[in-house]
Amino acid sequence: QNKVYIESDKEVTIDQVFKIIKTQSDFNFVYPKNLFKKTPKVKIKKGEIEITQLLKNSLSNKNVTFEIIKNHTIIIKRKPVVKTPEKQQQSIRGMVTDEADNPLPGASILVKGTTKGTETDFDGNFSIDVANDNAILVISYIGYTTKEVAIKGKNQLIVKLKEDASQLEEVVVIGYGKQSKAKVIGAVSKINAKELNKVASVSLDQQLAGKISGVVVNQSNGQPGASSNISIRGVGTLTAGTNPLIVVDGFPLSEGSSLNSINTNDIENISVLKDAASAAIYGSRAANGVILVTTKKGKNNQETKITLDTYVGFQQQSSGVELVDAYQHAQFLKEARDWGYVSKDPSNRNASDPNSVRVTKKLNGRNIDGRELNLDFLQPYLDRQPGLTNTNWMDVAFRTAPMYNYNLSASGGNKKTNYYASLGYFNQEGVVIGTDLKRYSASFNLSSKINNKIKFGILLNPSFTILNSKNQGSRSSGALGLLPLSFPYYSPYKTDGSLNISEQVISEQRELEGVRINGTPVENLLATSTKVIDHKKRFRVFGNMFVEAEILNNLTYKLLLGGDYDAYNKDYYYPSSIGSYRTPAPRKDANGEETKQFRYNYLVENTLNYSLEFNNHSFNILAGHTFQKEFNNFTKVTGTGYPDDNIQNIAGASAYSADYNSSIWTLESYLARIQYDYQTKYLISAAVRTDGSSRFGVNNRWGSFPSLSAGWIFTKESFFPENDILNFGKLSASWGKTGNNQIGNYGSQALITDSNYVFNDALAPGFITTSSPNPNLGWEVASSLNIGLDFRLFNKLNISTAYYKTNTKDLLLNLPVPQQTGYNTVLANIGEMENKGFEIDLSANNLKLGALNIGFNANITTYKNTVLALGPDQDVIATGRDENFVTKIGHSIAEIYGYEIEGIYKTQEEINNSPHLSGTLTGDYKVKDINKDGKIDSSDKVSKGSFLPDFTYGFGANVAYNNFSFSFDFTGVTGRTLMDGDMASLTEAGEGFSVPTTYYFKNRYHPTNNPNGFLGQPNFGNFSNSRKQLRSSSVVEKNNGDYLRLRNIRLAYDFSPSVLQAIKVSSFQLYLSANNVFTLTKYRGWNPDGTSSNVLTSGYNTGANYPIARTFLIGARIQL
Amino acid sequence: QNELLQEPITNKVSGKFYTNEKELEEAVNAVYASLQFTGNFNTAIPAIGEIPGEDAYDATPANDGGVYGQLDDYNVIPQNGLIGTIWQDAYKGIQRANIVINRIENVTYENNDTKQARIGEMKFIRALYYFNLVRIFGNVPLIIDEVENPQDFFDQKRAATTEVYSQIKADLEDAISKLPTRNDSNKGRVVKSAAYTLLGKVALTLKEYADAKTQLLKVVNTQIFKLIDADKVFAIDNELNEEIIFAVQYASGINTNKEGSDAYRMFNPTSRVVNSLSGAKGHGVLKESFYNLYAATDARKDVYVGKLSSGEAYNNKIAVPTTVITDAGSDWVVLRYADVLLMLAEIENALNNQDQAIFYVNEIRKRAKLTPYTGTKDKNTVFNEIDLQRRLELVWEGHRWFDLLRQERAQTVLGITDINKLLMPIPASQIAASTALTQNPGY
Repeated sequence: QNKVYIESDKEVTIDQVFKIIKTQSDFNFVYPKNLFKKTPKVKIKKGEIEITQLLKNSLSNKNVTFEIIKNHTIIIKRKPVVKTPEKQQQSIRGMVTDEADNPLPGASILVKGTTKGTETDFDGNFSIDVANDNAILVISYIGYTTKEVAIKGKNQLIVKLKEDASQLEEVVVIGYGKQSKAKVIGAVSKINAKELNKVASVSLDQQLAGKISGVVVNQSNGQPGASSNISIRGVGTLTAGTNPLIVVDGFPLSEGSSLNSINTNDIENISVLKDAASAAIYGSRAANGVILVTTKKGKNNQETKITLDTYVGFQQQSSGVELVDAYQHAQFLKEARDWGYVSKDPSNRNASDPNSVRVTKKLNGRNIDGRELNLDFLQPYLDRQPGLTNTNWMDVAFRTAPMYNYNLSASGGNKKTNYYASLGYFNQEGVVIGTDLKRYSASFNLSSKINNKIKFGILLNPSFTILNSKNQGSRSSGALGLLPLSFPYYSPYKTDGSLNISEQVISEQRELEGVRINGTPVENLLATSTKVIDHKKRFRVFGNMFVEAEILNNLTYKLLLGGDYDAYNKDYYYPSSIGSYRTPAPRKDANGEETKQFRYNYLVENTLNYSLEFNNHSFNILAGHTFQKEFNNFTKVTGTGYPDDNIQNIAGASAYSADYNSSIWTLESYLARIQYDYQTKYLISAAVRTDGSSRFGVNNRWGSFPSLSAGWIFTKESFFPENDILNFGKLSASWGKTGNNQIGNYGSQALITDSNYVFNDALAPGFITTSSPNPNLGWEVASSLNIGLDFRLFNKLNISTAYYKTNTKDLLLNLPVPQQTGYNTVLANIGEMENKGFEIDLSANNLKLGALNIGFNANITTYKNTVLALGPDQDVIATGRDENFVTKIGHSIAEIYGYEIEGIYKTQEEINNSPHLSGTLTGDYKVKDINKDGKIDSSDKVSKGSFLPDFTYGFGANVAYNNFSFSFDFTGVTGRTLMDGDMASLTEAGEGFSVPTTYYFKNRYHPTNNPNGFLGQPNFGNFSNSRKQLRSSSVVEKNNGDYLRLRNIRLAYDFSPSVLQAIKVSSFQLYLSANNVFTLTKYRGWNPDGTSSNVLTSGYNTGANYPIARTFLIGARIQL
Repeated sequence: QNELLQEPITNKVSGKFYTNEKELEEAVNAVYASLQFTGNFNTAIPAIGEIPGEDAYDATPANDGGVYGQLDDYNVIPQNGLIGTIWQDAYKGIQRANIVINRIENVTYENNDTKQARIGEMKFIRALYYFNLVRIFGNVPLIIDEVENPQDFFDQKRAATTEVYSQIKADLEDAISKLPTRNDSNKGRVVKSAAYTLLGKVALTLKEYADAKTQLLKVVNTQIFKLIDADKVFAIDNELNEEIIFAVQYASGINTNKEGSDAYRMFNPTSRVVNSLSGAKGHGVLKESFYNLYAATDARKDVYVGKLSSGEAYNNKIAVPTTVITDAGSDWVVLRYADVLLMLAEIENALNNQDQAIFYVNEIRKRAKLTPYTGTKDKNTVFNEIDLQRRLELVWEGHRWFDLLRQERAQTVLGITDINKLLMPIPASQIAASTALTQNPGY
C-alpha cells in the first residue's frame, strides 16, 4: 500500500499530512521535534496519490530532505544549511549506542556553541559537518546522561550513553491513570515483573510479602489455594473486612475474592496505593489500601516474542511443632493417669494401685473416671522394650510435595495493534496429605488503534482451578487437627498394607475392669485425609474492554466495561466406612454435601481525561462516573441416609435439605481529580470521589472522599547547588479520606431468619427477627496524613521515607451488646482508631565491584495502633479463648492478656500460703498477684502484647557476575505475640488427652521424674479449674511470634549470545531457587503468620493455620 | 439511584414481616423453637437442674471445657460456656416472645381466641425463661418490650428478684386468662393447666404455700391429667400423653437429623452403646447407689433408669436416637402431673396436713406398684418420703438442684460450703459487654 486517499481538497499542516499517511499505511516518520513548527500549511487535492509524490509535493520548498529506509520508515532531515564554505570544514560520521551497544535512534547531536544539530537515524548513525577540529559535540537522549565529545581529528565516532536513573522517568500506575515516578506525591510502591515470581506461589499475595514497606502479608493458612491476609499500614478496622481493594487493569475485584485466578506470570507490575491521597480515588473501598495489578501487554512494532517459563520443585513443611514419640508419650500418659487418680483423694489412693483396686475407690458414690485407670499396654513402652509400634504421625501427615509451573506466552504487535496471550498450568501438592491444587489459566490482551483518535482494547483472564482441601481445624477430617491427638501406639496401616481404620477410636474407648478408659478416640488421620472428599472446582473469567477516543485536542474519553464471572462447585463426602471423632467405622450414615456458588459482577465506567501543557505548567484533569453491580447465588444441598458408600456424592443420599442464599450489591460513584505541576518542581493534586452503596442504611447511603496532596522537588530549584551527592530530592505531603464498606450486603436491615419447631413430630416453620436494624449504618471513614521525603544520592542510592498517621472513625463494629437485648452483637458505626508509623525504603543498583554488579534493598516500617474509642460506655472488648483477647481504649487491638506465671506449686503448704485460683493442686501453676489484693482473679491478668507487630522489615541483595546472578531476600516481624489454641488446650496443657510437644515433655513438672520442671504436672481425670484458666496463659509469651525468614534465595545463569545463536533463541535463563529456607523464631506452633480471621482475636493460632512450605525449585525461562 | 435500594432476596426483612396471621404464626413457632436451644431445654437447663444434685455426676468432668464438670464440683467459673449459653438463649427466647407480644397487637386473626391464646402462650414462655434465670442467677435484667435498639442497654442494671417474680406472676396470671384448656389439637402447645402448674411452682419456690396449693389444685380438679403406667410415660410413641402438662418437643430422624436434642449423647455413660450408636459423653451418669434406691418391685426401675455392667446407671427417659447420636427424639418434659402431685404433697406437709400429703405420695407409690406409705406421720419423716419419691419419680427431669435450692437444703444435702455457689456467676462475656452488670459475690 504505497498510495493514500485524500477525501477532499484542503489546506493542512505538514504534521497532518504525516498523520494521513500514518493512518492509511504502515509508514513511520522520524524527524527532529519542532522541525515543522514554523512551516506554512500546504494544499492537498482530493483523490488517490502515491505517498512519495505526496511527500515531495508537501516538502518541496521546505528546508528538508527525506528518505525511505527499511521498515517503512521515512526519515526527514533538515537540508544542510548552505553556507560559504569555511576552511577545514569536515564531516563527522558516528553512531550513538547505549551501554549494551544497542543503537539509540533519535538521539540528538549538537555542535557546542552553535545551533547546528542533527539526530541519529534508525540504526543510531549520524553524520554532521563541523567547522574545525576543535569542535565539541553534545550528544543527548532522553533518559540518558548527556555527553560531550571532542572531535580532535577523528572523523568516525562511537558514543556510548549511560542510562540516567536520576531522571526517574519510570512510570507508575496510579488510580485511573499513570504518572511519572518523579511526579508521584502520594505513597505509592511499585513492584515490577522482574521482582515478581521469585516466590513460587499460585497467587500474587505471596509475591508482595516483605517487598514493600508498610505492607504485611500474613500467610496465615499455607494450604494450597488459601489466601493470605494483606494489611497495608496496619489494621484499621475491628469488624469490617480487612482486605485491600485489588484492581486488575482498571477492574476492581470483589473484596476477598480469590486471587488464585490471576496467574502471576501474566502480571507486568503491581502498584500499592498506601496513603489515602492516592487511594481516595477509590473512595468507599479504599480504607485498607489499594493494590493495582497491571497485566502484561504486547508492544507495538515488535516482532512476536514467545516465552516459556517453567519450574519444578518440591516443598516441605516448616512448622515449629515437635511432638513426643511413643516411649515419651507412655511416660507422660502414665504420669497423667496416675496423678489424675491420686490427686482426687491423695490420702486414700496410691499410684501403685492396680486397676482392680482403682475401680473400687469410689468417691462420694461416684465410680472412678476411666481416665484414672492405668493403661495395660504402656508397660512395655515404659520398660523401653525395643521394636514396639512407634508411629511418627508427623511423618504420616506431612510429605515432600512436588510443584510444577508451566507458562507459555506470546506477544507482539504491529503499528496499530498489539497483543499478549498466554497459557499457564500450575500444579501444587500440599505438604499435608490430602491437599492439592491445579490451575489452568489463560490470558489474552489486545489493543488496537482504529485510527489516530480511537483506540480499543480487550482483556480476558479465564482460569479453571481444582482444589482438594480439608478442614484442618476439625478433629474428624484432615490431618492437622488430628495430629495432636494421634497416639504413636497405633499404625496408619495394618500388617496387610491396608488402611488401619478406627483402631485408635475403638482402643481408646475400650473397657478395663468394666470401665471405659476414655482415651482419645480419633480416627486414623491417613484415612480421614485420603478418604474424605472435599473437592472444589472453580471456573472464573474476568476482564474488560475499553474504547478510548480523543474527542478534542488533549481531551480523551474512555469507556470501560468490565465483568467477572466466578462459579464454583464443591463436593463433600465423609464415607460411613471410616470413623469420626468418638465414632468407629462403620458409622450409621455418611455425610454428603454439594455447594454451588456463582457470582457475577459488572462495571460500567466513563471517564474524561484532559491534559494540557504550556509555559512549564502542566495540568491533568480526570472526571468520571462508574457503576458496579454484583449478584451472588449460593446453594448448599446436604444429603443424609446413605445406604452405602457406593456413590460418593449427594446422589447417593436418600434425604436432602437445602440452603439457598442470593444477594446483590451495587455501588455508584462520581470521581474527579486534578493534577498540576509547574516545571515538574511544584506538584499539586486534588481528588474527590462520591460513592453510593446499597449496603448502607438509607440515611447514610452516600459519602464523599476528598484528598489533597502537594510535592516539591527541591533539587530542581535554581538556588539548590548542583552537586554529585544529592541528585534528587522531593518533599511531599498528602491528606485524604477513604472508606471501608466490607460489611456484608444487608447489614443495615433487621433480618428475619428461620427457626423451626416440631409440633407432634411435624415440622412447624418458624421465622423471626434475628438481627437488629440500623438505618444510620454507613462506612468507616479513615482520614490519613502522609509526609514523604525521597532522595537519590550519588546517582545510585534511592532513599524513600514516609511518616503516616491514619485515623479511622465510625468504625464498623460488630459491637457486643448486653445479651439481655436478645442480640449478641449489633453492627454499628462506633469507635475510633489510630495507626501511625514510619517507613523507610532503601535501594541501590549497579554498584560495581570489579566484575561484580551489586544491588541491594532494605525496608522497615513501624506501626503503632491505638484504639481511641469503642461503643457508648464501653472501654474494653474482651473476647476469644478465656476472654484473653482484650481490645481496650488507649491500647492496641486485641492485646493478649494472661496471668503471669511464677512457677509450680510443689507442696500443699505453698498453695495454702499464697493467693491462688480455686481448685489449685500441687503441680499446678503459681500465679503472680499483680494487684496485690490477696486473691487471684481476672484483674491480675496482664497484657503480653498483640499480633500486630511493632515493626516489620525486609532486606535483600542481588549480585551479578558475568552470566551468573544471585539474589536473596529476608523478611522479618518484630513485636508479635501469638496464642496457640492447640498448645493451650492440648499439646502443652498437660492433660493426658493429647500428644505433648517435646518442649512440654522436657520441662513438665513431676515430683520424682522431673522435679525441676516448670510446666504444669501431667494430669488426666482431675484437670483443675486453675489449670483450665491458666493453660492459655502458660503458652503465651510476649513477642513469641517474632521471626526472621530467609524468604528467597536464587541463583540464575543466563546463556551467552554465542550459545543463544547456536540454539536459536534470544534468551535462555536457568535458575535454582528456594523459598522460606529457614525461619528463626521461638514459636512452637504451626505457623507464626497464623491468626484467626476475626480482627478481635488476632493472633489465635490452631491446626487450621496450615504451616508455610519450604520450597526448592529449578526453573528455566526461554525466549524465542 | 434506584439501583442502590437493594432489598434482601432470600431473607425476610423485619420491616415487611409480621403483617398477617400466617406470618405471626411463624413468629410464634420461632418462639417455641427457642425452647429447643442448647442454652434452654436442649442440654443446658437439664444439666444445671440435674448434675449438681446428689444422684447424677459428670464421669468425664474435664471434657468439653469442663463446663459440666464444674456444675458437678460446684466450682463454676464466669467463663463457663454453658452458663454463658443459658444467659444468652434465655434472653433470645424472651426477646422473641416480646416481639410477638408487641407485633400481634396490630394483626387481625381470623379467630380472636387464637390470637388471645398466642399472647398467653408467649407470656407463659417468657415467664418460664425468667423463672429459670432468676433461680440460676438471682437478680437479672428485666426486659418485657421488644428491643429496637440494643445499644440502649449498656447501662441496664439487674432487677431485684422480687421484681422479676412479680413480672413472672403477672405474665402467668394474664396467660391463665387467655389460654384454652387442653384438648387433642392443642396438646403440643401451652395450655391453661400449664400456666397454673408453673404459677404453683413459682409460689412454692417463694414458699407461698396457700397460693401454690390453690393453683395446683386447679390442675388436679380439671381432671384432664392423670398418672399413667410408668412404662408409658416416656415411651417415644406415647409423647404428649395425659400425664404431660408441658413439654419441649423434639423429633429424631427428620429434617436431616436437625430436630432432635443432644441430651442422649451428652448425659449417657460413655460405655453405653445401643444400636451401635457410640460417642456418648458421660456428663450426666447416675450413681449406682441411687439406682439401688429403687425397690426390686418398683415399676420405675429399669424403666426410668438403667444400669450398665460397670455399675454406672443412666437416665432411660430419653429414647435412643434413630440415626445419629446427636439427634434424640424424646420431648423434654418441663411439667407433668406426677410433679403436680408431689408438689401438693410437699405443700400439704408444710401446711401440716400430713394425711393429705401421704394421700398424694401414695398416688405416686401406687403407680410405681409400691405398697402405700406405712411410715410415721411426723412432718420430717413424711418430708423424707416425699423427697425420696421426688428423686425416684422425677430423676433426670432437671428438678433436683432447684428443689434443693428452694428447700434451702443444697448446702446440707450436697455439702456445699460456700453459700455464694448457690447462684451461678454472670457470664464473663456479659460483665465485659456491659457497664452496669455486676458479678455475683464470690466470683
